[in-house]
Amino acid sequence: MDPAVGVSVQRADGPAKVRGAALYPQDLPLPPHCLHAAIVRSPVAHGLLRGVDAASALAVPGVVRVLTWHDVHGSNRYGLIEADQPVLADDRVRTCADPVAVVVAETEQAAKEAAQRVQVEIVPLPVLTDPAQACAPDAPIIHPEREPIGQHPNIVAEMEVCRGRPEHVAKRAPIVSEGVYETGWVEHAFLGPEAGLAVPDEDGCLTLWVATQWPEEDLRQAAVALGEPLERLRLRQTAIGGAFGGREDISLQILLLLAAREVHAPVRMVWDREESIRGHGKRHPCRMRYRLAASNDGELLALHAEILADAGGYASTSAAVLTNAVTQAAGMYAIEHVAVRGRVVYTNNPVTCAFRGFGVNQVTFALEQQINKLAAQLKQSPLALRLRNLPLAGEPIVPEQPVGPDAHGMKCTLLRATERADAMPLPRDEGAWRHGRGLACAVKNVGYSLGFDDHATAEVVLGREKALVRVGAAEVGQGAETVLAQIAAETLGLPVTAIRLEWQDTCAAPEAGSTSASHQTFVSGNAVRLACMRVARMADDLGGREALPPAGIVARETYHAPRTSSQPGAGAAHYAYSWAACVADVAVDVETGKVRVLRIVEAVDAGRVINPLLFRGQVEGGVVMGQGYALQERFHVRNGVPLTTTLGECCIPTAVDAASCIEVVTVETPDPNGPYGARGIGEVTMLPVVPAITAAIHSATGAWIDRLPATPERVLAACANRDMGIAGDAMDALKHAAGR
Amino acid sequence: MAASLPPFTYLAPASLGEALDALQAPGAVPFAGGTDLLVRLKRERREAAASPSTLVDIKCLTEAQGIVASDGGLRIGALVTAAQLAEDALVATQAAALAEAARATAAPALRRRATVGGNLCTPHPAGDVATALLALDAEVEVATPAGREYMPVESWLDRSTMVAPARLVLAVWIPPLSGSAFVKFGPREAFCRALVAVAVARTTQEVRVALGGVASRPVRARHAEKALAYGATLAEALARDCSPPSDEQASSHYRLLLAETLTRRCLASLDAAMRNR
Amino acid sequence: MQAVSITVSVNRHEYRLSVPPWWTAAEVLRNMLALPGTKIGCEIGECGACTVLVDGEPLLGCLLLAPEMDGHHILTIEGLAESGLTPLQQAFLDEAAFQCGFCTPGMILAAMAIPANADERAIREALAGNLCRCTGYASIVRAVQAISRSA
Repeated sequence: MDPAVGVSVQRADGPAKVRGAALYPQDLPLPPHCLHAAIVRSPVAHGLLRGVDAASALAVPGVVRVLTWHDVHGSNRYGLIEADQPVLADDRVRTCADPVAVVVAETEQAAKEAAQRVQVEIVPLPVLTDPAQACAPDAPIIHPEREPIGQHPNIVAEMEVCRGRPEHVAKRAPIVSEGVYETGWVEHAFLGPEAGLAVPDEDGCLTLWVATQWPEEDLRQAAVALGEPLERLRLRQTAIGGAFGGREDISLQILLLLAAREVHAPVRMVWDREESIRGHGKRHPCRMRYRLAASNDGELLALHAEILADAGGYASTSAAVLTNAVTQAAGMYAIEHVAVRGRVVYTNNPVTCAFRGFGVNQVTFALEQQINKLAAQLKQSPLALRLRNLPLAGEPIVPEQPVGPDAHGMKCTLLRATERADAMPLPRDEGAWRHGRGLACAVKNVGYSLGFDDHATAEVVLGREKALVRVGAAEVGQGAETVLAQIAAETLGLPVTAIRLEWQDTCAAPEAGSTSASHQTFVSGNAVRLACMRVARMADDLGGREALPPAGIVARETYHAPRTSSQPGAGAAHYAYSWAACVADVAVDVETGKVRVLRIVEAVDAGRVINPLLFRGQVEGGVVMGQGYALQERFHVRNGVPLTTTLGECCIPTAVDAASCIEVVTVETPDPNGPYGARGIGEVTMLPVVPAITAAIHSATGAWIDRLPATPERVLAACANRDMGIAGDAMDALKHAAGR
Repeated sequence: MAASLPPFTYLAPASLGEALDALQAPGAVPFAGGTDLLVRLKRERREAAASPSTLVDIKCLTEAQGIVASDGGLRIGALVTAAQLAEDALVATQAAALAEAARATAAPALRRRATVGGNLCTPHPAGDVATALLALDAEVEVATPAGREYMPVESWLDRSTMVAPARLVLAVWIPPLSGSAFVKFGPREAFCRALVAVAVARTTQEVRVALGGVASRPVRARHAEKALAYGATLAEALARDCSPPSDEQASSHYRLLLAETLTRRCLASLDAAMRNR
Repeated sequence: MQAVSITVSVNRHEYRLSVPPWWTAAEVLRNMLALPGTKIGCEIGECGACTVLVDGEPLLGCLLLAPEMDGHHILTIEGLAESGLTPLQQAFLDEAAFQCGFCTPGMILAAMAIPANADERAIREALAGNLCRCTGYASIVRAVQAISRSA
């Protein structure tokens, strides 16, 4: 039998997508008597809600109901970690996006018109905009009802990881390199705006048609909010217009189910782009201070890092983003003395949430930039400095996270990336264009961490020549459906075409956890593999495949990922990692500050590659997203009010912006626990791109950009301010040594 | 389904006379490519703001079509699209800045609809085509119920109401010139509005410089033109020609700096092109 | 406010429709003709997801008015191939030039206007108006190049 793993099998959902037959939630045909919903949102960033007057709205012909928090019969609070977010505002509003009411009407037209007529009476409160002021004694308290953790009620989460005596060692170290870094909000900009359809049946059970990342979690949150037993809720997944973490949180799910239940009719809601941008969270802005202490020959002795992140008005997954950032703030380096302190705080800014990288983008940028600055200070090659500080097998990377014998994967990505990059010299400087090359690397955890029971369940029905695999893993565009089928095929010794995957229905497919944290291949893949192994053994016991009954036999298995420690700094925080190293070539126009990315070489070790073509797509997509984050994407907020309201203003890369030369180098260090040795590819690809680009800018101009995005104006200003102490020939040496 | 546009009456007049009559009604606006108008109407609908009630589709009007040579210059119909400008041989040789501006506008599908007239009628700091037309010292041919009017594009852009009742831009006239060039700088490499754009043109008598992105409309940089003629400091002169805003996109200082750099580059590009002829 | 009558060929079928003139072509296709392949990503011409072919030329369906459809031939993604898949659609499959697929219909239709043997720069410029958040565009460029090579 031909192998199925390691093969570029064509995607199962491909034919529908290229023919335009894939249905996204906004494409679903309307059931008869379908009503339409529109949300009324807070007009201000912070205020006390005094009342909602729906009289004018109800007078609009075709309007059926206007729902407010009084209609929320369960708990009016939801949230992925902390239930601090109202389904519909009750006492106060904390961001400009807070839903205050939902209008349900016979036409979408009437719903939107009526929504504009709902009067919301709010007494404005002072708006907290600066996370650095969030813990000041006179700061507005965003959640006065919440039990404070830490010394100030505006702290969502804080975390500290300490090892050794970093203060003591840093004081005595001959070399210290420090810096302050800042990153801003970023919009996910997935192409398909949110939409959904909620349908009640005669028994009052509710079905929600939507595109999401964790169907069962959506339903659990909805069940609590509605005061509805979970068994009466069903979610059916459609095709999804991208996610990148932006569909992890509840968007319209609870409101749609609420509306459908209240009016006893199907209810549809479609967000336009403006509502989509307003209605879902953003990447966390972060301010970070890093200090590296080293010996004269480049041994890293101590690392200090302070991280402050902006959660916006609600907690969402900020605590977990912070955890990720803090436990990976020291990257892949073996540093004996470490102190990392992180804090994420409430403000009245837009809610921040999961976004590809989940906190590790920000610390990777700061850490890798600091390492590159140290290299420059020591006049060492950035590669040599990194290699010198990689851990030996068994030595811990992030505090108390022992690295197994697979540690050499990290070294491999660095060596292979630089080797490939060196094969092509930089173009010559010409006119105002200066060329530079930069190196950076990154590590990203795979899976949910700190003691979370990361698990998935799969069920396999094996027939004589075919198999049906049921696993509720949400497809978010990455090709999970195909990859899981390949794993099943490989395990069962069947061709991939003989495998059918059922994943879209919570009533049919067992729960497989969230499609996030780069972990579906790992966790769901293992569940599928185990279930296939079991059912194959059962078939053997029955006398072979030919002896199977016509209906086939069924096996069901739950895979639990290796246990991690719930105490940061005391045992493994994560159960698997992927690594990547990136070399970026840029051209900088030193008269305007414009940066062009000419070439990206990225070596990625995500374990065994299940599908090379899809793997390549993930790397290329992550690279361009990283490029956008580094150079051009922006999201402006003033006094808690987003100024960026259109897709054009978000400024994501077009085909012309995207680096045209992206070379993917695959390093496959098998994971001892991953299915066929696979790890996770979804996020790590983006991480090293940003610091590689800023390092390349430095190589070209001598200027460090410590603030993202590195817009032309910032680059130009940095060039003007750069440390003129680096002499010309030393700069040249650095430029050409970047790959060594 | 909620329509994204507000309701309106749609008229498709067969003649210029009919069009001008239709445009006299309150709330009537000309509709050509719609790349600005329809976007504006959609935003107004979302914000529940007042909208025009009649769209007068002028795409049939022959008076506003075509690119013809005339007296050493060009007459370019207001309905000519950016895509057409980018491909036209006459425009390439006699109004290169306009061809370059058209090529740099928006994206391919939008260029097939965006018209010269539209770019002149939508107030914006940095319309690419408008900026080029300013440097080219184009004249705007306007149809009114009382007859044709001709005015410099600078006057047209200065008017406080861009779309006055019952006036229709029919064409722009490009006078003869020795050469022209256009340069655009935006927040990304394609498909964006300019942060700063520069168009330059040379005749035997003078050099003209137009700037986009430094004011509420594209402007002629007359102090800069003098500085170039007399060898004075360009930066100082540009600072007199405009006071660009500082906002989230860029500072005033950076916009001025770009204006200076791009002006030099645009001139260098033009001079190189003229040498190569 | 009057509806207008239009006669339009969509995917090689002729339709006689009475439509409000303020409906866009994308809305007509999706809501009157039950052709949801044309996607709405932004509504205001900033993403290209609603690209359709009008008399063979890629235009944005969200900025085309219903009355303007009159007398024209429109092809949406559903009708691009008379049967099976066009070589370009097949190339998108072979190169996995899609992930979530939302931009894919518009991307394929925009790519139809790219001349054979266009160089990479020209391909990227032709697709500058079609945003993709998933692929990084590299696989899309490869799919278009694969067609050019075999043409």
